[in-house]
Amino acid sequence: MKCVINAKGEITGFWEDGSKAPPEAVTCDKVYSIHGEGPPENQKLLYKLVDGKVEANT
Amino acid sequence: MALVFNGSNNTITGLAVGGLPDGIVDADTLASNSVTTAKILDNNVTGAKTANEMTSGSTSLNIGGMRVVQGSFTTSSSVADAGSDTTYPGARYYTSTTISYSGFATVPVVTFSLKGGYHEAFVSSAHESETSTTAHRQYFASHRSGGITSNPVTWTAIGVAS
Repeated sequence: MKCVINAKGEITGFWEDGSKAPPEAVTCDKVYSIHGEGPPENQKLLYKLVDGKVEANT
Repeated sequence: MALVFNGSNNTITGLAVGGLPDGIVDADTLASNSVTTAKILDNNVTGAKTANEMTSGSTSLNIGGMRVVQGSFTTSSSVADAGSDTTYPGARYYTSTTISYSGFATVPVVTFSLKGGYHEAFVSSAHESETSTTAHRQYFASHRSGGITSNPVTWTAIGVAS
């Protein structure tokens, strides 16, 4: 399981199959099928990565 | 002018244009990199004489100032939910991927091919500002999330070589 994070540590995508993730992806302890809400211009990313663990982006 | 063999400086002078027998100059006689552009008749370099350098496994090629770069990736297994089925009909779910490339002097044109089985899934627009001579962020959207999750994508960028 891998995910890609932005400069703020927010997760912009999960990959269940880590072998298919891009090179910049990092290991995640879990994956979700929805990583964001709202239209692109106002997208809220739902999760962030903290010390290798996925947490709610509150 | 008479033909003169000079044994002290090892030169031959006086030889007329076309004075050598046809076919006598072979490849070994020509010095490496000795054929300049001016020596090639216009419109006479045919396709068959061009090396097939874009072979399987290669990802880029420059042809006469034009650059072509190819790549592939797999979309994430997660998507963003724009809200509801009626908020953005047919495009409720979306995701984006940023690809990187090099060797372009100007922002290239990039095309994507999304492989899946969902008829309504589509390659959407590029990000309004995150396109440059080195990167391109592309959106993908679908009415059903499965149309754009874990799907293989191939892409081609074409532009002016730097």
